[in-house]
This record gives sequence, structure tokens and C-alpha cells, in this order.
Amino acid sequence: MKEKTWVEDVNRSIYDVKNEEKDVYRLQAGLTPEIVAQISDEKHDPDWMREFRQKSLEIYNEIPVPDWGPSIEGLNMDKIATYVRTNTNMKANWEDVPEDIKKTFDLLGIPQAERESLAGVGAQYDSELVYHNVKAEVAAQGVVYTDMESALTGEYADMVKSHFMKLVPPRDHKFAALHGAVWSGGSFVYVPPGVKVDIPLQSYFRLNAPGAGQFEHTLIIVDEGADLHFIEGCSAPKYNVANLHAGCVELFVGKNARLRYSTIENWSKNMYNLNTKRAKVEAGGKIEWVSGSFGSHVSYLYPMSVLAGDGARAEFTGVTFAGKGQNLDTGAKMVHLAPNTSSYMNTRSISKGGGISTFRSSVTVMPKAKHSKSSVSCQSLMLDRISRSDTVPAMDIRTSDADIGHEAKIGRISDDAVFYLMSRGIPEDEARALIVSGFADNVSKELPVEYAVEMNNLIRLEMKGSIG
Amino acid sequence: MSEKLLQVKNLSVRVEEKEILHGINLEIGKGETHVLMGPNGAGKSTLGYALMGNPGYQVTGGQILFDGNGLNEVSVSDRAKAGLFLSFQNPLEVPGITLSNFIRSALEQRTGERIRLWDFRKELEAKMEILQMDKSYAKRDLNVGFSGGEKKKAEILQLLMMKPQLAILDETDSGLDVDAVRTVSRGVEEYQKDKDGSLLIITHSTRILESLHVDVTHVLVNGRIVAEGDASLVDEINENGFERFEQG
Amino acid sequence: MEMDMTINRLPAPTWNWLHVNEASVKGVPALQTGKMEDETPEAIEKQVIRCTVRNCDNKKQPEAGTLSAELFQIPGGMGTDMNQLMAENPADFHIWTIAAGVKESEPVRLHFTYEPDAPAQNRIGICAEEDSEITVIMDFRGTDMDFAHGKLTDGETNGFQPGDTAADAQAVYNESENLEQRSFAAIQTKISAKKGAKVHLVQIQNLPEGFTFLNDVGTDCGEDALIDTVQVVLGGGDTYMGMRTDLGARASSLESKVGYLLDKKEKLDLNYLAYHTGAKTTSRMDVSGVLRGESQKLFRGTIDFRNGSVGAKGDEKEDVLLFSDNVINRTVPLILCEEEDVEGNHGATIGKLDEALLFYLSSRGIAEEEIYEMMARARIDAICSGIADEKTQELVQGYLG
Repeated sequence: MKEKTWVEDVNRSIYDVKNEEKDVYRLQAGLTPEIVAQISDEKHDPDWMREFRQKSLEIYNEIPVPDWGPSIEGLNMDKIATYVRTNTNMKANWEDVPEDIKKTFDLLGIPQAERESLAGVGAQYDSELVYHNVKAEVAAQGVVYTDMESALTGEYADMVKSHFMKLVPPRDHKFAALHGAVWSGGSFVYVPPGVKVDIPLQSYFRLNAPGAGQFEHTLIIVDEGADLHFIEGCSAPKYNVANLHAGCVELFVGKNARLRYSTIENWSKNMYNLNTKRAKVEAGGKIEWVSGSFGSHVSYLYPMSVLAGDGARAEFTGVTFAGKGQNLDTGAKMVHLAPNTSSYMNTRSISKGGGISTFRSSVTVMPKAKHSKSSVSCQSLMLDRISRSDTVPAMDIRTSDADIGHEAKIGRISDDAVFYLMSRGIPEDEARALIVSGFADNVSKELPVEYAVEMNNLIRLEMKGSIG
Repeated sequence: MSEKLLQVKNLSVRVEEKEILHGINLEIGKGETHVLMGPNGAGKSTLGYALMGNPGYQVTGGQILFDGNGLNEVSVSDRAKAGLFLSFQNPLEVPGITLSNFIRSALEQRTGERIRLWDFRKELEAKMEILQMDKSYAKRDLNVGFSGGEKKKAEILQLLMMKPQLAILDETDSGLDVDAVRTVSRGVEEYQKDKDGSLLIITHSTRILESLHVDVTHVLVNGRIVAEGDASLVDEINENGFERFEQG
Repeated sequence: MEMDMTINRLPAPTWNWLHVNEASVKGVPALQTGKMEDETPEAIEKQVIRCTVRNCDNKKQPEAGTLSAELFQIPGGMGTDMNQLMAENPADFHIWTIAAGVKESEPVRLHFTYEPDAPAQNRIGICAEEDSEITVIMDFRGTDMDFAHGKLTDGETNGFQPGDTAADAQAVYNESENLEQRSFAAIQTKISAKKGAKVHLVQIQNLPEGFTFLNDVGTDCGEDALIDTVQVVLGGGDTYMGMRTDLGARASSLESKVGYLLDKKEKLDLNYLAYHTGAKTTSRMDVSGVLRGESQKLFRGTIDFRNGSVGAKGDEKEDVLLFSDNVINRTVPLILCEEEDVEGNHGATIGKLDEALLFYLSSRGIAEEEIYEMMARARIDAICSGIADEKTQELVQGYLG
């Protein structure tokens, strides 16, 4: 047996740039009705939202933490600042964004990406959006892309009110309740009937402040026959204190509409990522989730698709890479409520260096969902014997007129494959990285090319250091 | 009129959203052997499935008459009971049911009477011998783990046991080696002899036809019958292919 | 002395709203040793450890160092509450042992007859010494059923010990909506297969409606040993089955097959665990059945690769046919893994009959209802085809009618 050496931590210098906290408004840590009221004040909440936050806080205090999944003992809510805002207002011109924040996003390639291939960009820094811009031609189509706060009081206030946390009610679980109480920032997107947005919209979330939480709310409504691709990216520098991300994404996909929601998540490894994402799909509509989970210390992430209308479809394509010190519990939930619905799940998980990755899923087919189809395929790769990889799927089928398939596989990198590549002159670590990238290509194939490149870089970074 | 066993009148068939057959006319008399030839994708198998009543193949127009009775509204199993048989191109595997039990219960279903095990076994073994099938296959689960050739033989065995009035053989010769084609042909001859059975042989090659007497040849291209003739048409296609028909 | 039990816990819990993390059985009554007839070939030694109320009250666990203690300690699939149940009730422990090197092809036959008003339990041990081979066939039925064998006589009470708590037996033990459901039986089978041994366990269950039946198996599999089980559920009320196989020794292996036909309001709750700690160990689970009427089934199947299970392979396959729109089928197939060099696979197909298959069979003149009948039977036949014993095959065929 060859000895392998492991590099403790990969080069994350790009993601680890920390900015000094200056001129910041920061609410004291902890969670009380007063703090929640202060957030309402700070954000000029309408009355219904003030009540909503207080009610959510009550629910938060009632609901226990999950008794399944990774431990979140390291997370002490009394030490998390729920609201941190730099002294800047949201800008529509990149040049106006404060220099240090701009530098961070520049390093991450945000404005560059916008110039090249995005229809609109939002960038959130800690609790508030610092930059928001939509291309004129997209706006001319009637597409609304704005920050949640403006949406709450603007032209679309009623639409926001009738959708906000209707899909993910605060009672759903403890961190949904927390989100309802302290949410801040995020984006609102409305695509009018029949409008097809050809290039993606993007949001980028950056949590800079140590010991803080980010609770952005994303609400997207794609109306009948419309089509949208939305991309979110997340990152944060590494601190030695726990940070918390408890965002919420609610997606409403109208009749015959299509929404693709892509995420490359690369939170730093002190982050508790307890995020909730859910989509409701009407007749003939389709939701496509593309999800890469690379960062965070602990993740609980299972986008749910509620197939509510006849012929609604959902696809989930995901990859999770758990390295040293990471416990990533990811997957998806599919709920078939209507006839002729179909769901498709294809995931890969990779465990390395003592990391724990868990694939967790559910497929529920209710009696009315006649003639439904579901197919789940999950594959796991163990890169060493100090890591862990669990597969925890569940199926609940309540009609006979359904066609349900499930397959799961777990294994290692084939020595033959490594040998084959090495015989063509590729060094072992490179060969292994190539094989792992290939293993994850279900996701990279679905991403726009620059994101696929970023994802493969992340894999290479994670793989580097295993020397044959 | 009465000797016409199968009459297909102006039959159109749709699969999912696409019409595959456009107004097919075809008549097969008792004891006749017909050949349906055509290039890949012409709709040959579709015709076989439609005649047998596969629910995935929707008849959008026209009529199928069998022994003078309309078949359009008749269920698959009742078509079989009426005397129609389709040999599948890709027979399905059925774990848990042996070949012998399957044939026996299919026969019992048809007649509604118990069949004496001894008589059944004797006949089954005799037919298996004609097809050069090892006796052990009778006890194996239907088609499970059978090779391509064995599956085809098992189809012909069912044909010989069930003795239908009309057998449709869908690409029964495809994927078989020379010896296996010969054996299968022998089985088909036996069927003809035994009951003066009618045949519709769907094929895109001609090997299986060498030892059979062909009465009529139909050429199907793009969902339409573009030519009809006697056995000599088979030879012509053998030499020149379908090119001539495809141009029209 | 009623007992509330939580059994069949999922080894790694998931969302509570799915209600799959465990099963709870409430108000289990006091139990007596259930009626059992055995046919034991000469080469196999049979031992009965009498358990009276008195000695069981004093010592809830068998004396350390004894065979019964060794067997008792093998964990079962249902979990500790089942052990608790076994320890708290005064039931005899029947143990069959086959000596080293002996291969007996004639099976041990155990016929269990459960009565509607006599809550019963049985404790069975099977010990196969090095390089031996033993087959144990159990059938479970109610008193009102005809015996296909015609061998058993009524009246023999094989070890039945009326206890002080017999009166409790009349109490309603189950809070479920079906109050007629008062019949209860529990059995625990512990198997120890030593190096190179082969143990074949066959269980055929055909209990009357309304029975709650707990069937727990725990096995310990030695080096190069094989545990091979076939379990068939043809009738019952609420049936709970658990099986855990410890594959701790090198190249030990498990072959487990379960087949079921559920109808009416029958429920089947399964928890199967292959626990791989040894190198080159293999496990295969094959679960297949049919749900009709308003029946429900929950299958938890776990392959757990622990550190040390280098070169291990685990395979889990499930195939469920749903013949009614009022059934509930739940499946939770876990693969847990902390070893690199392993191979784990799981596949499940759930739904109605394949349309192409339905067409193929109808094209041979078989009516649709008949095809469903045939296919249901075929599931059980496929599972039973591995049983080498003709009598058992006949028994199952007799049950299927």
C-alpha cells in the first residue's frame, strides 16, 4: 500500500478575503422580540410584516431542533448576530459600490460575469443587497428583478404579500420560523406570462461579518408560459466562530412555465447552512434544480418540488463534496399531488478527508397523482476510509398507477481507471481529480460554462493534496 | 367472402402523437401465407401490434375484421381467444412462471377447461423436439435468461401449442444464426401443416422464407403499402432492396 | 402487565413527517410460550431451557457463558424492546444445535400454532458448529386453519406454562382502530453460524386476519459462513418483522429473501439490517411482493458498511406490485458507509404491472384479472423457488390455492 499524504486545507484564498468591519450597523447578537422589532424598524416593515416576524419568533421558540441529521450543537443562537448592514445603500452602478466590497466581488468575478453573460445581477453583502442591476432589454420585457425590501412596498407589494412564506410556512421547521422572524435581503423576481428570458439572472450572496447570520429571502414567480434561469452563488471567508445561513427560496412556476434554479454554494467551513428551498409547479410547468454543494461546516439542504398541476415536472441534479470537517446533508424532496406528474433526481456525492456526506430524499406520490413517474438515481464515491457516506432515501407511494424507480450505488474510484489515465502520462493526483470531475459531470453539464469551470476548479482544489 | 380470414380496411394507426400507418388495406385468406416486407421504420411492427390490439397503438381510422367480425373494440386477450397470435420480436421475461405452466394456463384460459397434465406434457415435449429445444426449458421461467434464439423458439413453441387461425410473426428470424432460422422455419411449417393456419410474416430479410411457400408479398414503406405481388417479389427485393419503392 | 414497544427503528433516522423512523406497538399483553410442534432429524440436538415465572423473574437473562446466553446476546432486527419483551415473559428457549462437520439435508420442522385468545411467544435458537449445515423450516398459523401436513395432533402443549399473569391476556392490548384485533404472537430466532457453517432458515406465515405478529431474527455469521433466509408472508393482520445479520467475520455472507401478498387491511412493517464489519463480507436482500385492498407495507432495508469491511459487497433489491389505489407502499433503503473499498447497490421498482408485459400476456389470451393473479403468484413462486424442501413448496402452493 502506498502512503498518501493529505494537505490540511485547500487554497481558498479567493473566497477567504476578509474585509474589516467598519462603518457597520450591527444588531446585538441573540434573539428577542425587541431585536426582531428593531429589524422591523430598521427595514421600515409594513404592519403585516412586523406581525409576521413576531409570530414567527413565537413559533421558533416552540419548535425543537431536528432530531435527525447532522449535529448543530456548535450553533449558539445567542451568539449569532441576525442583522449586519454596512453603511451603504443599494447601488445600481458598480462604480458606486464601496471599494472593499467591490474588491471582494471583483475577485469572485461578479461584475465580469454580468458583463459577459447575465441578464441581471444582485449582490448581497451580509444582510443587505449592495448592488442590483437588470439589463434594459430584460426590464423592457416586463421582467421585475428587485430586492425584497423594495418589492415589499413597491408596485408588487400585494403579490409579495400573497406569496411570502406561503410555500415555506414558518411552522415548517425551526429554521423556517427563524427565517420568518429575522429575514433580510434577497431578491424578488417576476416574469410576466409568456416572457422568455434568454440569459440567466444571478444573485450572489456574501457573508463577510464574523458570527453573523444571513437570512435572505428569494421569491420568484414565473407566470404562465414564461421561462427563466436563475443562478445563485454563495461564499464567505472563514472565521473561527460559527456563522449561520438560514435563507429561504420560494419559487412559483406557473402553467406551462419553466424555471431553472442553479446554485453553486461555497460557504466557508465555519458556516451552518440551514437553507430551505421549495417550488410549486402548476399544470404543464417544470422546475429544474441544479445544485452544487461544496462549502459550509454543516448543511441541511433539500429543495422540495410540489407538483401541484396536471403534467407538472421536476428535475433535480446535484453534487455534494464533503471534505475535512464538513457534514453535508443534502438531497431533494418530490411531492406528486396531480396526475401525469413526473420527477427525476440524479445526484452524486463525494466524501474525502473525514468529511461526511449524506444523501437524503423523499418521493411522495399521493392517491390523486395517477399515471405519475419518478426516478431517483444517487451515486456516492468514497475517496478514503476515514470519511463517511450515507444514503437515506424514502418513498411513499399511494396509488397503483405509478411507475417508481430508485437506484443507489456506492463505491470507490476504480484502480483500473486511475491506471488507464496514468498509462497515458497523467500523474495520479491529476488522474483522480479528473475522475472525480467526471463523476460530478451530471451537474457541470447543466451549468453555464463559466460556472462549470468554477465548479471543476473547486473540485480540483479539494482533490489537490492527495499525492500518490 | 367467408374464406377471407383477415380483412384490414383503410387502417390508420397513431403511436403517441404520430401517425405511423396511413390507410392500410390487406386481406389474408384461410391457409394463406403472406409476407410483409419493408425497410426499417416503415411501420411493419406497428401493423402487427395494431392487429393484436396493443393499447399503445391507437387506431384512428379504418377497420380490422377477423372471420367477418370487427376487432376494433375487442380486447387483446379476446383477440387471442378468437384465434390471433403475435410472435414478439422481443418477448418479455416473466420471472416466477415456468414456460410450461404459462402455456398450460393460457390454453386453459382459452377453453375454460382443465387440461390433463399427462396429455399436455406429451404434446409439449413433442413440439419441443421439433424445435430442438431442451426439455429443461419447460421448467424454466418464461424467457428469463433465455438467449435471443431460445426466446424465438419459445414463441414458436407457444404458436404450435396454441394453434391459432392466424399467426403474425414479427421479425422472428432477426438475430438468429442459420441453424436456428432453419429450426424456426421447421416449426412454422409444422404450424401450417397442422391446422391449415394462415400466416403474416413480418420481416426485412428473406432467410426465413426460403423453405416456406409464399402466396402474397406486401411491401410497406412509410406507413403505406406501396406494392403487392407473389413470391417473386421477395426475390426481387432480395436482389435490389427497397430503393425502387422508396422513391415513389 | 402491558408493555408499549418501540421497534424496527431506522438505523439512521430521517424526516419525522414521513413516519418511517420506527414502529410502535402499544399495550402488548403478558405472553405465554406459544404452541410449537417440532420434527427434528436425529443428527440434530434439541435443547429446551425451561423458563418458569420464578426463574425468569429472578434472572431476566440467561446465565453467562452458556449457549443460551451467547444466543441471547446476538442483536435482533427489532431492537432492544423486543429483547425486553422476551426477557420479561416466562417462555421456554428452544435451541437446536448441529455438531461440527455434520451436514443434515433433512430439515428441522417447527410448526407454530397461535390461538386467538392466548398471547404467545416463542424463543428459538439455532447453533451451527463449524462446517455444519442445517435447515430450519418454520410455519406460523392460527388454530382455525387446516393443517396441510395432517401430522399435528391437537392437545399437546409442549412446554406451555400458565403464569400468574394469565388474566392479563384478556386485556385489550392494541389501541388500533380494529378492536377485534386481539390476537398476538411474538417470536424471536437467534442464529449463530460458526466458521464455514451454512444455516438455511425458512419461515412461512399464514396467520388469520386480526393477528398482530412480531417476528424478530438476529444472526451472527462466522468466517466463510452463510446465512440464507426465505420468509413468506401470506396472511396476517399487523405483521412486524426485523432481521439483523452481523457479518463480522471474514467472507461471511447473507442471502435474504422476503415475499409477501397483502390484502384487505393487512400491514407489514419490516426492518432489515446487514451489518458489515468483516472483510470480504457479502449481503443480498431481495424483497418482493404485492399489495392489494387497503394494505400497507413499510420496508426499511439497511446495508451498513463499518470500518474494516474492506472488499465487502451489499445488494438490496425491492420489487413491489401495487394492485389497488388504496394501498400505501413505503420504502426506505439505506446504505451507510464508512469504508472506502466497498460496493453497495440498491434498486427498487414500485408500481403497477408493466404495460408491455400486460400486452404480451394478454396476447396469449389471458384475461387481465387472471394476469394479475398469475403475477402475484409468480412473485411468491420466485421467492420460494430457492426452498429445497418439497413439503414446504406444497404447503405454500396449498395456501395459494
